[in-house]
Amino acid sequence: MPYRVLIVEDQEMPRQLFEIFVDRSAQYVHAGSLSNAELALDFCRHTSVDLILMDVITELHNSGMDAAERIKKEFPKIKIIIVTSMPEFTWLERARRIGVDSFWYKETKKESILSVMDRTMRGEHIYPDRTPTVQIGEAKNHDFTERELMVLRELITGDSNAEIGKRLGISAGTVKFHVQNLLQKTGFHTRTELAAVAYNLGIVVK
Amino acid sequence: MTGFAAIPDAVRSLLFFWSFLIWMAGAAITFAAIRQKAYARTAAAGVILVGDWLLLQIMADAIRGSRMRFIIRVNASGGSFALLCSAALLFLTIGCVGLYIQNRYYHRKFITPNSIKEGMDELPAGICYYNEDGRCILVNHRMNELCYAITGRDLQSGAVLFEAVRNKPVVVLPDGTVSAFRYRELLFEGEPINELIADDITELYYKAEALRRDNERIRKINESLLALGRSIEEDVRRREILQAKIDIHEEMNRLILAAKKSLVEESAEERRRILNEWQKNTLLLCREADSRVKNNVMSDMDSLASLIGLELVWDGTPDSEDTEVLRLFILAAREAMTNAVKHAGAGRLFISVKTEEHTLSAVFTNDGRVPDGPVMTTGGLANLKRKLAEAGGAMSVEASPAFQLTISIPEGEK
Repeated sequence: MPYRVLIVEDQEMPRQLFEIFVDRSAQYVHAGSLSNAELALDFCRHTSVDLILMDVITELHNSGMDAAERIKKEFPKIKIIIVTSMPEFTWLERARRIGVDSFWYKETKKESILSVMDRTMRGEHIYPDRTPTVQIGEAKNHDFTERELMVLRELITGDSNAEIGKRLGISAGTVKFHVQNLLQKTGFHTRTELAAVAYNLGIVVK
Repeated sequence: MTGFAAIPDAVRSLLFFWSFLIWMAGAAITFAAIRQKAYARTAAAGVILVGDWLLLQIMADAIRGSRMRFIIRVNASGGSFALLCSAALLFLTIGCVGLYIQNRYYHRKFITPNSIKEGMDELPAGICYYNEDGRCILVNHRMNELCYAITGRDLQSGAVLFEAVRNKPVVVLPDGTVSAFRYRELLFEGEPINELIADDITELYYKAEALRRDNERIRKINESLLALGRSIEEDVRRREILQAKIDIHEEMNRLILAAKKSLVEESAEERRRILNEWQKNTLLLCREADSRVKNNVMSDMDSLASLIGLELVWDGTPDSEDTEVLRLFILAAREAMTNAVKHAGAGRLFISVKTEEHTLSAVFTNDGRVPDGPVMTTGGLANLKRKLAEAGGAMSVEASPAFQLTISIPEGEK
């Protein structure tokens, strides 16, 4: 009996590409496709689903991660693979925490999605060792400490050091210190430039 | 007494000049002591004046060689008379210096109207007290300067100055200094007094200006960051599409190889399968992505509807730039779908939707049973109504002649 797969992806091309992969494999059958993660739980309530390929940012800005968490609570047996192209480092951690079975970066060449689907259905948890490497200025995203990445994420809000510090529970001086380190590592001249490029590359997503 | 006349002219002149100086100093000290209402000092200064005057008379008599007109007649040789006079003058000088020191001490220790005025003149703030007629009672230097800079005239009337600054709480002067005026009415000994104070806020003003400029700069940066944020998803989308296109091209490469192989040896069924895959890939590459969002919303609704055995019949498309509008539309559509199946046993849900003048409006009807009576807006409908109202929209439900749910959602200012 083939596994029923739900695809949650707002981009038509990647979605249809996933559909082609699913259709081509004898092991899987396409249960349906949605562009909006918020509707995925509804979908699971009305029909049987064995595996979900879930994008993180879906239609109308609905979070695939939030949807995955709700689905895992109500249907713990449904396997979920998060698929994304954004190297935001907290997503990996969050996916593990909420019990997502596997995590796959769309642009990876290491392992095909079908292989990850097969191994996931066999009960394995496939997670990349780390986020894809992205060059930002003179640095790579892996050159940053976790704290610096947290500060970087808050930087894209355009808030002051004091406001960022308040949210992270650290002093404005510490925020400034991290920002200076980030600027030094990347070689950027302003925090705005740093925030804009980091956001654009998807290193941090707010 | 001829002895005194015989001493050198220079010494006599010196004694007269000395005596004259003491008289002048005594007069000044007396005057100051009277102003300070220090009566003992006034009397002491008076004694010095009288003593000095008598000494002058005596010395004048000695020169003329006449008898003393008033009280004292001195019998002494010229040298000792000069010494006596010097001693008396020295005594009076010491008295003068003592009284002068006391005056200074008093001046420093006690507040007088003058010291108040002097103190006020030192202040960086401008001060003006004036009565009801505008007559100035107390004005300091700074306020005089301000008045001249603002009105071009000296400060004659407090009321005139007040009128000049009444609607300008902050005045920037040509020299770059900035003053803030405040006014209040006071009662002094039962009489109304007007107080006009000009605080020097130069530093504060320029710092506030700098802060305002900084805030404006930050606001612009924030705006551009927000705009950037909005375009990020589009960038990611494009990147993903590009990646998908690459993958599809790879897939087509594979198909070309498969097709070549099948033409040689595969069965008719295999050839059909390969043809089918060709079609899928080609369609995918040709499809336009312009109306992506509304197509996505509609296809999501169709997928969900088919699961619960409902067919959606669309008239128009849910088209809006505002994500929130589309979210609310989906909420309403889900509610209409649930109700159509649960309460009316419908097989088809008709959705008529259009966007006009930045408002999306939709009407949901179905082919199921007509409600027996009025439809209560409770549960999901009540929740929908509340959420629509929060977004400035509206909802109405009709039960006859058939169930009809009508909604309207205005687009936000974005």
